[in-house]
Amino acid sequence: MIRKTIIKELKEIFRDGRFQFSALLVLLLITVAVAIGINQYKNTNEQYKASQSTERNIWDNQGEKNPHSAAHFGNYVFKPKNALALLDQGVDKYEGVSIFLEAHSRNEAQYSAAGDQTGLSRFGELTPEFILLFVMPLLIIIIGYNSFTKEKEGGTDVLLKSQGISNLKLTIAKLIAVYIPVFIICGILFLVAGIILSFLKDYGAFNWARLFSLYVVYLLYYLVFTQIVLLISAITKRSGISLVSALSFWIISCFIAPKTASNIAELNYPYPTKQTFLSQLNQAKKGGLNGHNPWSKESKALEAKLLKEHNVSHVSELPFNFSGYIMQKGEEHEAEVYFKEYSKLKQQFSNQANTYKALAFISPFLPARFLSMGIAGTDYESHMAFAEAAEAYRIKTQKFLNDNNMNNSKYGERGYRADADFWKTLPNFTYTPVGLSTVINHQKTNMFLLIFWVILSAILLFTSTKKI
Amino acid sequence: MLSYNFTYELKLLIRNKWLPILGLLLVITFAFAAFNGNSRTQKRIKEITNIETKTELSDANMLKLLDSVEKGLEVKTSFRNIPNTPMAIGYQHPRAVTMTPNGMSAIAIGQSDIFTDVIMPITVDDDFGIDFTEMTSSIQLLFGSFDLTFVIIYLLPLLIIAFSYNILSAEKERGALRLLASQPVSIYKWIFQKMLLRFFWLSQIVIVALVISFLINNIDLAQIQFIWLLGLILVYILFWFSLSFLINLLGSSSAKNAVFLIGLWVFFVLLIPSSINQIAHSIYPIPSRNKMVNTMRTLKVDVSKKQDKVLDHYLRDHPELASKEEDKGNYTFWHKYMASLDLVAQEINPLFSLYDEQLEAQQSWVKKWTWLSPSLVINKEMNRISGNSTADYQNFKNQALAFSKHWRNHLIFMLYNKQPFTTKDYRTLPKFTYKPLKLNGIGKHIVIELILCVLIGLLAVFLFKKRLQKGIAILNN
Repeated sequence: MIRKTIIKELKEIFRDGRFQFSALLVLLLITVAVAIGINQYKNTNEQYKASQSTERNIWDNQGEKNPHSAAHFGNYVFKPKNALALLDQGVDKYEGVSIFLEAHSRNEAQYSAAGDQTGLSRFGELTPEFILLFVMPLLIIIIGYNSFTKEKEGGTDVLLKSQGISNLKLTIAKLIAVYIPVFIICGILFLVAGIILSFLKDYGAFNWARLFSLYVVYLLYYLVFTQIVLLISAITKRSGISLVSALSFWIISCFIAPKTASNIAELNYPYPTKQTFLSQLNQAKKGGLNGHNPWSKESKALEAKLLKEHNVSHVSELPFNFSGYIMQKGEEHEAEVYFKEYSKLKQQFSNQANTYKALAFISPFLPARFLSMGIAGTDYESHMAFAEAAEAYRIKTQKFLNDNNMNNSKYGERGYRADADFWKTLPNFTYTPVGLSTVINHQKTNMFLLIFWVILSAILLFTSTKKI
Repeated sequence: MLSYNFTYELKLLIRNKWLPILGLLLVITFAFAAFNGNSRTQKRIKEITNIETKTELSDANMLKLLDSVEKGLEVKTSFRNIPNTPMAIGYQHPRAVTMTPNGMSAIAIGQSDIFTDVIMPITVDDDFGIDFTEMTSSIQLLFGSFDLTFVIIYLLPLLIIAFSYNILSAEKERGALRLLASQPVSIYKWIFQKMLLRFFWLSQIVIVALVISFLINNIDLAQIQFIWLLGLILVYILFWFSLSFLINLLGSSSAKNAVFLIGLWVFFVLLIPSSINQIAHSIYPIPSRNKMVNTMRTLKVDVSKKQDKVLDHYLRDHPELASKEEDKGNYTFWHKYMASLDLVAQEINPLFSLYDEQLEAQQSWVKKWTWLSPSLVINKEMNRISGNSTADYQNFKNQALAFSKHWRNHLIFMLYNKQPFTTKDYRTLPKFTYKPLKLNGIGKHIVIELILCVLIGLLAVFLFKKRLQKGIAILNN
């Protein structure tokens, strides 16, 4: 009986003009979005590779130079694009793509795509995630809003009951029937994306396990929507009311909840403005060692300690160059200041993240959104991981340069220059994106919240359809 | 008939508990949205005041120090911090270049969460090194804000749809249409009156909600921009009512009407904007920023290699700055540095302005096509009123960069003239005042949208009459 009901429902769905039109539209939009995405992905990836090697070339060929001049000249690192950004760009567009690493300062990533776009881009872009997160639930509503109401309106509910089908079986059959089209469309999209990504050259961190996890997240998300839409259809009497109610749920989950959450998060845990952040940093830096100021109180104390340790009376008698040493110590102090200030920022972000989780009870969109970009490697945590890897590399580079100064130049020597070949011995910057298991571990709460939604909506649906 | 309809509608609405619920809902959403916009504005104003107070304080200290130095008193600070050279001023005492939000800033967050309103350019900065971005959680940028623009552009149409999708179809489904048909009134006139009345009541509620939300959040109502805002909102409401009128006349069942109207909402609010956006990116792609970084770096290397020649070239281009015969060759690090900065800027500026040009090209393309969706038109105009649109930030950026250049040149001139910096020079230091963009043409947009509404209405009547002529019985389908 379940099978027959499913077949009947599916036939009806596929015959329906509204479904045909919207499914076609969705497929068309997805095709356009994926085509644009692939093109963009290829371009950015090529550009990333070219920039990285050009930058390294510039660094290697600086010629003879004082290591600290080289430290100020600095180097750039570029953020690679994650393969699954093709399906979900997450916050990529709002984060910078390159970081300038120099002496004394930790810089923010620069040049976000959003900074180079018109205000219209805030309306959203035609990307696969826009379709996956916003449009597909709408498709579910169009397929399922009248699933129960049409029986009531047409009087077929009585006929159905006379056939001896139990309400439970009927609900299961309807659930499966409404779910199948979305399951298939989504499946095709992920399969095509997977095939394209594995055929692209140098596809970086792409693997099928990640893609599959992403697919599962979306399937769960759609299951929640299907169950809610059927629930609404079961408890309302008229199709019109059912449709309007389901749409209200969609609007609240996908538009109102995230925006409200973002405002509440900002209200309770505000980010500092850039100027405030910078002045806090400068204030904190002032209180400590500065490699360029050997006359300060802190430098003098360090000097005294060092003289005592080595049992000499003047810094010129030290076995290494004091200026290089103090430069490195200053660098270490500054790095610590940056670490502290950025830790505060990170704490603020994690407070904000908790606000989003707390508000997930009004919207299944929120956990799905975070899971999706987490798995795709395009969330804020992934960006932070990159920024932290860059900072670690910056600290290493500074030590590499200061050590050269310390060990090869003499105290008071002006115009010391390191060999032209020296720069080539600096190790390359490497960054490995966060692995899938770490991501899943990190996203445990969101995973739990999404599953909670699945269970909650299932319980509500099956209890409410006991009596139709 | 209008008066009958009026009393009937009013009774219906009140008994339905529609009006109070809708009213309350709107007041809450409007007030929350205005609150969010206003907190952002207040945060920005606080930041600007902070920076200005800090600058004033630091200036007062600087003047004290300068005064002591000029009087020949001993000062307890390292020689680098003594502000008696133009470069010390340029490096350590930057001016606050700020863009104060206007009185209507609370209605749209716009781009104010992406871009900063405060920069402090120092003379050693490259112009392209000045960072105009604000520090906002990227999740917040991704989700956007719940501001009045969002409520009006996204949510208000949905309320209108929920409020009007079944005017005719509900009568039909309830069977009341047959009774109505016995009355001497044409159906479209009857629906038109009903629509008009609902438009009237909804507008009243929206106006009241807007006024309350402004009052609660202490936003000034007595400004001409408020009238413009009202005009935009009302014409936008009318647009959705006219679409609903069309669908009501042509549609059949309530559910089908709702599907059609939601389809139109998705089309105007989601699909058109994202498509225009996507096409703009494809036609005018922004060149790779990574590539720009590469070019900039290569240039800097080149310039540093010919550092010695740089100053000669620079002085050849700026003979007014060259010192007299007798001090020739008496140039310091600063002279060379500023000259090389100028050289890099000259070389890289064309590349740099390419980004602005592409962005402007995108913007004018987008502008050309915004008329496709009234949602975009109203959004654009609301952003303009708030002074937080992309164009406003672009305007601030241009003015700030011009000021930065002016500031640098002012001090460089003193540097090359070997002028020390004195208390007197403080008074002649350049000051920055932000000049907002002019706000014109809003009335024109309102009129255009109004005409569009009338056209939709006429089209609806025309198509409806045609259907009647074809003999499609409204009562039966």
